[in-house]
Amino acid sequence: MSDSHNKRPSSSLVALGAAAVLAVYTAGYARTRSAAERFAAQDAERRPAPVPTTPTAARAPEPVPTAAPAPPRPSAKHPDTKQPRKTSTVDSASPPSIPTAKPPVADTALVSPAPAPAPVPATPPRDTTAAPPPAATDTARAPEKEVLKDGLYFGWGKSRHGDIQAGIEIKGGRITSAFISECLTQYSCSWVSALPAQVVARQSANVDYVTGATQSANAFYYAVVDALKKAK
Amino acid sequence: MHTVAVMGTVVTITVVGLDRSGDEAERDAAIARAVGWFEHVESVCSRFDPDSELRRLCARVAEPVAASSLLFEAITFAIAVAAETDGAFDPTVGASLESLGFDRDHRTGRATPSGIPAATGARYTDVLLNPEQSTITLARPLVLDLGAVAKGLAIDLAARALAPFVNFAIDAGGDLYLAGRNGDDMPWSVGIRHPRDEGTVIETLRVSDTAVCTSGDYERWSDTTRGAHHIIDARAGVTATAAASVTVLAPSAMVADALATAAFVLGPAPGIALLERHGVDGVMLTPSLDRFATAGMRDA
Repeated sequence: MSDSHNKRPSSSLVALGAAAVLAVYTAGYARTRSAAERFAAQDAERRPAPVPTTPTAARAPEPVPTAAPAPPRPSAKHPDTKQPRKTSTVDSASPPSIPTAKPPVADTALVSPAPAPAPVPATPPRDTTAAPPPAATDTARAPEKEVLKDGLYFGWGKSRHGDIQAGIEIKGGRITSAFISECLTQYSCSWVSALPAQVVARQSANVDYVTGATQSANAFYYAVVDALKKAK
Repeated sequence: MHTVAVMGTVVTITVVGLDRSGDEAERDAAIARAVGWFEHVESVCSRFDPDSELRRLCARVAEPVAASSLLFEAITFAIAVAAETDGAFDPTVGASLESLGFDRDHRTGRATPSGIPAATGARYTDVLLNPEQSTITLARPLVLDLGAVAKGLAIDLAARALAPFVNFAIDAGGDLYLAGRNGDDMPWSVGIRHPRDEGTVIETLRVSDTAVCTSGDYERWSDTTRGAHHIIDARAGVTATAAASVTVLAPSAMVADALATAAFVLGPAPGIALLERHGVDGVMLTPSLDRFATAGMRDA
């Protein structure tokens, strides 16, 4: 069903892009080290980053080592794994939500949001050549172990069209539902109708991820993020 | 799963096997580094933050300005794409975007206009790059917009920080990098959303170690100009209308994102030709939902 992929020659923009990313990543170490140290000192709570044995970022020329046989990179195209096919509506049930209504779709999509433990190699290769965090970690969003307290939480998200309030329900430390609780936008909230289900669990759909899905729905996401803060 | 709000969108990082026992601190540190890259790229490349390095660069005309590696590479790449498309894609459209109302931070709603008029006739050729000195000179007043480049670059940098974990996914508002395999030990499945129906997936792909980025006319609409969205045909200075969405698969998110935007501006025939010339795959949907694709993605 999928076309075979003829390997095309490497191309200038792809090569340029790869070189640029490498250059920035490498420079990220030298250029941001002092700032990073300063910020690290300011934030005692931040987890210490593993100290690179040698900042030989050149040793990591490829963004991602792969478990599966991978084509040569960086000039190579993506691996031959995709299977384009026509699907009209493979998303999980995501009926248009009703503005200001109670949980519009969440209950239809209650799936554990946790990524399923996967049969990955027992110990991923520990490549400590990755550059330390760039200076911008001053905001110190070191990921804590996310412990969500059970309960119902609400948060607001702003958009230029108005604000949206999202509610999330936490049970057993997991988000079990997320829904639009208030829609104060000048238009109907149907434009974010698909999102609550996505927030709860993308696994409920037939796809792991959706591309191009979420830009217009920032308000809902911000509302969920706001609500999540309160659940911690 | 780790979610943060950054760069005008929500970024979700998922490392497969996150719940397994292992060196938690190391893993969390890697995720912190990945997130840190997003924040760093935003602080450097934001058009909405008057204090960003990008905005400070745009405040100086006709003099060489020393640029950080990050800003220099991002602008160099954007200019290269502009040259590839004869200026249909052009990062100097920032002032035009402002005039269409795209002048404020999505999260705060605060307007942060540059004060530079749109009609200066600026083109990408007015951005002079000096790789030896790592300086950038703007030959005339203009506002650079790295919207089609910066987020992809941040995704790529974050992917590097996460590389040791082999199997992971980065979702930055629908622009994706999918490494290794998913929780079922399969290549990741990615749905391309219907450009006119947010709840519908129009097509599904299977990918591994691939960036998947989509430029769609549904992403950001102008409040002030009827029918205008955020993708500009720089040749005419108006919203591009030949496509509704373009999805590109590439080894790098920066490449995928920029080429998706460039192909969007160019429209079906030249847009697909651009993707094929650069050896990446992509699908374009027009406003009438006609489908155009590179050879590797044409339906059998």
